[in-house]
Amino acid sequence: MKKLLMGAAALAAMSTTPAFATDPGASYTVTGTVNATCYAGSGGTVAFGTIQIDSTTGKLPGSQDASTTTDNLWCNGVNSTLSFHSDGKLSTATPVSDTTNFTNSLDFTPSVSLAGHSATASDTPVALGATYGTLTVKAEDLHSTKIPVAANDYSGTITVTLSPVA
Amino acid sequence: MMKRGFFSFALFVTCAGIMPAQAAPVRQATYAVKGKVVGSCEMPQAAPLTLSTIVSNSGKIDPALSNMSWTLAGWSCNAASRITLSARALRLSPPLTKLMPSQAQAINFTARASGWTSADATVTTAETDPLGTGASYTGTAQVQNAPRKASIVVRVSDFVTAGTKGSSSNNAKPVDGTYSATITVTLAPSS
Repeated sequence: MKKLLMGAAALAAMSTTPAFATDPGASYTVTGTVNATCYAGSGGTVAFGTIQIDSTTGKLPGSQDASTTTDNLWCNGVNSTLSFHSDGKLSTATPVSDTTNFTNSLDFTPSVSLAGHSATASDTPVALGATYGTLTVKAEDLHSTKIPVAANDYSGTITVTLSPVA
Repeated sequence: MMKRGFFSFALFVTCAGIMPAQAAPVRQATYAVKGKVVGSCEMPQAAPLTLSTIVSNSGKIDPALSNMSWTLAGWSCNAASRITLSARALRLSPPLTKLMPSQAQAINFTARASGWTSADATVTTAETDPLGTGASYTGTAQVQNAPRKASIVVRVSDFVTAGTKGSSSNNAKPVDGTYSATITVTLAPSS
């Protein structure tokens, strides 16, 4: 009985003990920054191959299109953009001597697209966002405003730009 | 002292939390666009060219035939090119199978094409049998190193009957009839 009373007294003492203040502490916010970036690959070649002009008219054959694709390109910034630069021309390393009757300049229509986002005008960025996918580079409608076209190797460029923006 | 240290740390964390994400430089990749235009030549189909002459009593070939020429317009090559002439001698048509002595039914000549290359392309037929064989003779090709569009002038000269030996006074006499020859101008891209 005496033990029981002592226990009761102990309980009573605990229940009447005033509340202590919480131990001092601090919250730590863990942060990090992932920079916006893009991976554009290393380029490639859009090849029209060998072109035989019409031996009567001197014109290029119709529907001359070429393209190439590069997989696994991406941007992780939600406001990233896609653009390209190209003058849309092919020319030869050596000029033609008879510029009155022959041309060494060909025109094409360039465009690029990445995972469904297409840019169709040079130096005009389009919204891309955070995107991963396949880049398609096209050179279409190869033609010449002047004929006949001189035989030679022709080359031009399309420079693709991925601009990372967070 | 402890209190100031804690405050400083808290301030640092707060600043770090509002720092904007940094953007990496733009990424570029260049795609070469390439094509090769192969050489080709355009040439008109020439109509048959007719020579008409009368052999005099002397049996000699009309000298007016020499240097007769034709201008062929509309030739064009978009690349460096080679021009070659080939020809068959003038020959009686249809040819006879036998001839009298001192007669011939084949007449050799020289054809020359100018206007395409700095040096003319030429060919000389070389029938040796007065009957003729109808063989085709080909001259040396001349090279034009640049694309060219021009007319070609073909000139014929130096007619002499086949089988002639020595001076022209000993020329075999051409038998009467209609003669025909073929001159072929071949223009081909050399690239």
